[in-house]
Amino acid sequence: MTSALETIFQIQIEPILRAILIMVMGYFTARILTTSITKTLIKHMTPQQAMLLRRILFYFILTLFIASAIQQLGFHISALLGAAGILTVAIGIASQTSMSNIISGIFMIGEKPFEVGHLVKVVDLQGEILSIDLLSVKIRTPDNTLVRIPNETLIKSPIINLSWFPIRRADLKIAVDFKVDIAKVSAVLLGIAKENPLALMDPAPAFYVLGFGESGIELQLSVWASRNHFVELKNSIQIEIHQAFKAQDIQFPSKALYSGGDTEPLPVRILTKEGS
Amino acid sequence: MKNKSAKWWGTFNVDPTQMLFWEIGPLLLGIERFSHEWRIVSDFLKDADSSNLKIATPTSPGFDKKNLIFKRFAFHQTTSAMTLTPVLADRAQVSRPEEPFYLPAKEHTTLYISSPAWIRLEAGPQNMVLHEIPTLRLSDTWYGPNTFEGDLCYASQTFCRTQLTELPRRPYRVVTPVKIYNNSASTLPLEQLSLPLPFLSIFADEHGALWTEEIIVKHENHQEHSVTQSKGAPKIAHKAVLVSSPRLALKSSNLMTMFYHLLTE
Repeated sequence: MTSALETIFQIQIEPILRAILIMVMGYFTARILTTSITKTLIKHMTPQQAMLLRRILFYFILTLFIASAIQQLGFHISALLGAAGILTVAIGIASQTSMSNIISGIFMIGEKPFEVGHLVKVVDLQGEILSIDLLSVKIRTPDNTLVRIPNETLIKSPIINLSWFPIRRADLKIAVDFKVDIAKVSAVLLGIAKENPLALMDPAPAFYVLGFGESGIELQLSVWASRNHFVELKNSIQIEIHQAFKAQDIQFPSKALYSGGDTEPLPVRILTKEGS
Repeated sequence: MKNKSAKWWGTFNVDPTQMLFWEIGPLLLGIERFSHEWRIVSDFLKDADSSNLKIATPTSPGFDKKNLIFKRFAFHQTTSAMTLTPVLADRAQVSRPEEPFYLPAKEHTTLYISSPAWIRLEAGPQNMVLHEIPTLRLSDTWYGPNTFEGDLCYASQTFCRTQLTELPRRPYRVVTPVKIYNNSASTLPLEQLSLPLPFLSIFADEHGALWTEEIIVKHENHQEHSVTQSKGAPKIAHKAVLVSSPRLALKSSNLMTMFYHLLTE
């Protein structure tokens, strides 16, 4: 009786216990190794890269231990790998979009076109990056809505990162009446830029004559500001331009519509048949 | 309360519901004390070169209501002491000479560059910093080799005065002597000078004039400068005492990075 139990234990219980033990050890080893490796490398990585590395490392180590545990149970790994390969193909076909997003996400994290907190413009949307995940990027728009953009869409679209560089240039388009002295307008605009403390002295503000439009001369004042004061500068300088133009009697163009009031109406003569 | 002198900083007693006013150069400042809060109003005169100095007067200087900056600071119970301390700006100041300025080979000179002081307001039992106000709001500028590498600084024009007597003495400005040695074989054109203000201290001399440490620049060749700063007040500031310490501690590692672009050719 004892020898029979011993035989059963040796044949069935022992490999199962060993497999369970290997899996438990694998789980904890994967967690400890992943945490310590990412802690060491986190200084050189963005949070997104660290998250990706942590996941890849964890599942890789765990898979090794699971394979070892399966082997302890008497299964042939090569046969299982063959079956897993077929399964992977089937799942891959069924989840093409998700896989495409994941792969795009990995490329995006590697390429780093933006970071959490950056202000970006992408596919007609502007907003602050809230999170960069494997499947999608979530942004918060200025009207406080959450937009989820799939990574596949992002990798195909041009992304404008407004927070990448510390300073930005504001190109202010201004039109003035044809009668206005352009040299005077140039002096007024550059003077305003010089006086505004948010407009950077260097790179220096620039004035351009863009051309002659339908109803006036089209001009551009380009001023640089720090990224944090960009909107404040754009608002304040346009208010100052409006005030200065009023004070200096510089006319904005106005469209004149012909109402027919300046000429006499065409004379109308009613002809009648002779004798009627 | 302090009597009228060039020394506008220090600790002032403000009675409850009393409002005191300061005019320090172009800055107009009003401080009002209530039992549970301090109120601070500030404004700037259009005349940036104003050398006004009125200290803790009860008469309002006439603020422009459109541009008034108004702040309130709540306390459980206010105490009478309000401390005003001159400090240097929180960023470097880039000064451009008004006229082209050159230093011939093997020559040396001392330039006196001034920068507007900021006022640090402290109150409460532990002298908590309530607010910092510049006496003159300088324009922002970018200082770097291109538009993505560099630092945001304050911009100013300098007459590159080589004689101290030529320098107008304004109570709100801090003078930095910059000694430049051109050890190279060619003329050094000075296009702009970056004063690393956050790393400098303020000293007051016996007349109440404000100074920083002296900066010594040795220009060896096109790419090589060595920059050091003197310890303590400059020799020309007689009987100078320390008024405020630097905002940032100067470490040997950031010495060169901070000063590297001091001169631009």
